[in-house]
Amino acid sequence: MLVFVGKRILELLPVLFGVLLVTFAVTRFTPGDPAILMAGEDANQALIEATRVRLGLDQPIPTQFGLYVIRAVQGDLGVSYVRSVPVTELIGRALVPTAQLAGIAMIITVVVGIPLGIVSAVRPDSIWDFAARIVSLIGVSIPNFFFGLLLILLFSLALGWLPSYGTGTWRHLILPALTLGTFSVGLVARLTRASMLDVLSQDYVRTARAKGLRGVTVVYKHGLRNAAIAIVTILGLNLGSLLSGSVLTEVVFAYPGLGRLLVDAIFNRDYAIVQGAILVIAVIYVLVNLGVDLLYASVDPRIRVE
Amino acid sequence: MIATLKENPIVRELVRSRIAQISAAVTAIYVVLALFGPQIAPYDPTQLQTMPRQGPSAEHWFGTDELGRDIFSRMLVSARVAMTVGFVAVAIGFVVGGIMGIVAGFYRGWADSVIMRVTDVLLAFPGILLALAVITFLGPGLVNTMIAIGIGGIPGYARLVRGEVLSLVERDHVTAARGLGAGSVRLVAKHLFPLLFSSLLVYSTAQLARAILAEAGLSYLGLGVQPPDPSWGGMISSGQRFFLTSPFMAIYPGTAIMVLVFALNLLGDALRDALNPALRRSGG
Amino acid sequence: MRMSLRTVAASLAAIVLTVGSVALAQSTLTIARPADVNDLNPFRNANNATSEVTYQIHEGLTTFTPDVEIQPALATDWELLDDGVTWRLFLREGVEFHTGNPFNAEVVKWNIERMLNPEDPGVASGLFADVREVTVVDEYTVDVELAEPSGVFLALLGAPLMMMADMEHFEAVGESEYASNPSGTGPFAFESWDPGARVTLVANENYWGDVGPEVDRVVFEVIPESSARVVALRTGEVDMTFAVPADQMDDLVGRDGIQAWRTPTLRTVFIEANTQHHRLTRNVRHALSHAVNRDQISTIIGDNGSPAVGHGPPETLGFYDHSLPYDVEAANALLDEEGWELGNDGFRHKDGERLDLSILARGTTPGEVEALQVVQLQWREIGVNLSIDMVDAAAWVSTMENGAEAWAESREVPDHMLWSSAAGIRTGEVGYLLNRPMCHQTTRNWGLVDCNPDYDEAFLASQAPLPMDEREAAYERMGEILQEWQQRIPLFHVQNNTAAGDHVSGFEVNPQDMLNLRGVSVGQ
Repeated sequence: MLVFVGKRILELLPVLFGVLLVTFAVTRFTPGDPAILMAGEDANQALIEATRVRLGLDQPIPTQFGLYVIRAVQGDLGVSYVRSVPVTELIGRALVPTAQLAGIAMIITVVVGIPLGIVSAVRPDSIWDFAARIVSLIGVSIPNFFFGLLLILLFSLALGWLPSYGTGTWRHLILPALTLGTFSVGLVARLTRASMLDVLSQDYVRTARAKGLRGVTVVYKHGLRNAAIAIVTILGLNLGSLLSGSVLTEVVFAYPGLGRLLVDAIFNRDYAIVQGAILVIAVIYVLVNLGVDLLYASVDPRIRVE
Repeated sequence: MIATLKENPIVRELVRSRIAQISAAVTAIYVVLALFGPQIAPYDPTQLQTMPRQGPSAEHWFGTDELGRDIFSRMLVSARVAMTVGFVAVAIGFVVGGIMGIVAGFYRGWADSVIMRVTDVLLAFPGILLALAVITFLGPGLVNTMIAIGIGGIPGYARLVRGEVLSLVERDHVTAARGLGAGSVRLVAKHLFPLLFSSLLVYSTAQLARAILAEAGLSYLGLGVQPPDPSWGGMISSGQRFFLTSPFMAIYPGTAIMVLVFALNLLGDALRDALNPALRRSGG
Repeated sequence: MRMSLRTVAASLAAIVLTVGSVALAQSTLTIARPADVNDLNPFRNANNATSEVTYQIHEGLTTFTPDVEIQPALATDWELLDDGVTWRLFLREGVEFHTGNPFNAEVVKWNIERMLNPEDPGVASGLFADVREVTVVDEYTVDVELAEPSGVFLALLGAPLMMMADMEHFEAVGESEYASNPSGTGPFAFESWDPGARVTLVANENYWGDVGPEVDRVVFEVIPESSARVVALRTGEVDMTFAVPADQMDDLVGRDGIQAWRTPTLRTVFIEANTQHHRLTRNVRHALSHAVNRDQISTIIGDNGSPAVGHGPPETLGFYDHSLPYDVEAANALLDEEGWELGNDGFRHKDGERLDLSILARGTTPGEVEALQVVQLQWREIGVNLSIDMVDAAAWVSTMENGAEAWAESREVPDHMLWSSAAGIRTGEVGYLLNRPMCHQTTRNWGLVDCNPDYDEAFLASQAPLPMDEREAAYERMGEILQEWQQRIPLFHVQNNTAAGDHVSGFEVNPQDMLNLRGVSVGQ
């Protein structure tokens, strides 16, 4: 197992290197001189030069990339061009609300999405399957920013039950989490259905059914347990759709998380934040999927051998 | 020709399925609107026509937007924008990813490793995030939106094609062709593509839905198609500012996206079921 | 072990305090606004969204009534000495800053010198004449000697620009710390700032004035989206909201439990140009200006404002119509003359370059985005491709500041082309919005306008303590020069739409954008 873990982590290194390369390119090859942007409002020529040297922008590109990697590994993502605050501080502040949002959306996904998929798979082509498939298909088809607006229209404007913007209390989280969760619910329900169908068609399940075991027992004892591995993977991948969906959701609800920080920074040409936010999201995503892989391997020893 | 099509079991399956019929019909309507929308549109979509934010009327079927432009005309032109971005973005992913997948699967070795590491890196940026990164240095706009979304589609195609190529290469007739000394290119063209076709078709339908959603999202953020040119996402964004008093401004374009993406996903499901009767039967 | 005990004790104390404060039923006034403060340093930032907050914390030496009558504030009296350029200010005694530090002549001298320091000019330096010397006469008397006579000095002291910061605190914590932890003499003291979300102030229990804070807490909540602000008001989430768009105002007026104010302001939305940009030559600027159709803008923005043709509405002192008439033919002729030829794509080209322009906008003023979109279409008619770049206030300011700085230092021309601004007059005359003389290079102007001795002379005359007809004549001469420059294209005068719950009382909208929360209370 240790060998497997080590191998997986080694495999991760080129990916992280590539991620760093892409994010480096985002700031380095965009128009505008970062030194002028970073030196701030009251910079004179001397300060700009000093900033250039301090940031290493006078060095050749490969050296600059090296510096960027070394700093990033140490947790130094530079300073916001616009607000003169360290990027890690801004990201740290925005990460908490996004984690809350994604966490609740993930709970909604598990509680709604997986049962929806199971219901579909157990009685394929029944009215239940049809209804569940329609619901999950709507989930993956409606643009989440539009769904968020509809929720605002209903629950904030028409009924006045819930706030439509910002953070503060748990009530602020409900509409954004529903918005963010809807796509994931649809996605996970569809994938759960597919992997359940796959498992239920396997020979040993058929045998169990043939031996006269009751349907419910078969589904839970054999089907779900074997499909669980696939579902864990699905949830890991689903984190990607939550992280990406949070960008739009946070903009709709003016929710001060990582996604909105990123979008605002793109408009403000605050490339230090753009770079940092994309890097952090990608690293979180890669690490979670590593975790899922390892979990997978500890559940199913066959994976390790491969 | 028609006779042979009818005899094709896949086509028979599709024609029999009510769901496939409906979703294909809806998709076809959108394609027609995308092709002829600008000709059908009663008004210039960027010209000010009348008072802003008027409700539906005989002159303006869907009312007017915040600048007094005809929403119906803007919806039609947006259909072309969405479809164009969708098809071009999918084509970029299809061609680039497809070539990468074939090279990786066919030649294996170091080419395979390099290509797979590249797809790993691209896959590390979930969903719209890669598009945002690309837009950051290309800048917003119609063409850049296609490129940004297209790049996001590359790794999926590369992996799909590589996987299929790997399993197909093992099959007899390909091995046999190799034994006969057929050139690599001919081999790919003659044997692999027809076999790959069905899985690529299903995947591409889903990818088209994904690309259209991504375009709407980027335009909603203001990073996709730029005003004054219309796009559904952009219309929702400006509609949001008047949501309290004129909710229809956002509801029309939002519904248009939803129905199209729903139809495409449904069509993709129907295609998959038709092409993969084994999976379908397994449920029964 | 001792550590953990202490921690437990501290948490207990915190709980007791929290429970206690809940029991006392604190009153809070929550205000929704479209934008956040840039930061809380009054020397660096004075845009409207910032000064609305910093002016609750800090105060000026003078202040105004809503009819622009100068009133005493931290200065109780003043006189112009016989030399005609020295103002003697008598200060209020016994006033303390929120930290407990004393307010006195030393503090005033330090504040004025800090703000007008030519080496590192503060945000108000563009408005004030050069100060030759500030002298402490005694603890509560200070003399300010100007380099030239000024008829607007006292008025400028009252604008939310020249605020008195807590000198000792500022020097103790340093400039960057002060920006997020300010201290003043105002009715409300700073409590916390959550950037992008809210600023919270608490009542200053030791406030010197008769009319002071009537609520325990003021929260400035940032809600960029206009309908969300209105919804928040309707659901009781906030007590008051600023910048209500006209369409939603119609919906609010007459609703039960809501009071609404529509106030025409002295605030004008402009399109401004970087005059040094190679595409924005004199003829191009004139063409752009000729292509603006204000009637069309007015139809689209409705009750958000009224068409503007100068700095401030016509009744303002110094008003001059410096706009150019709507004339598409004239605009096209000017562009032809400049060598920009109409291409097959409907846009103009010259030397392989398309006439692409971009405008930086914050979009926080209701009607601004719509007005710019209309201009975008109007400019298309003459073959100009305008893109509207939405940025937040901090980025907008830093772009302009960096550009002006680079140009002042090394004549390096910044990349930005156009921007939209919303600037209000706070002294009752248009001189407040005009650039100070530029020939002796004391100030940095965002439009990067070149020095013009005639302008400088007219400006000095307009601000001097001269008979009114002479000052008006000087304003007129300046107006002609501004018309030739076409650096600022006025679009519309803002109508301030504010709404609050009926439980808010004592609030008055000030057309000069000087938010005054003294005496405002929230009932049940």
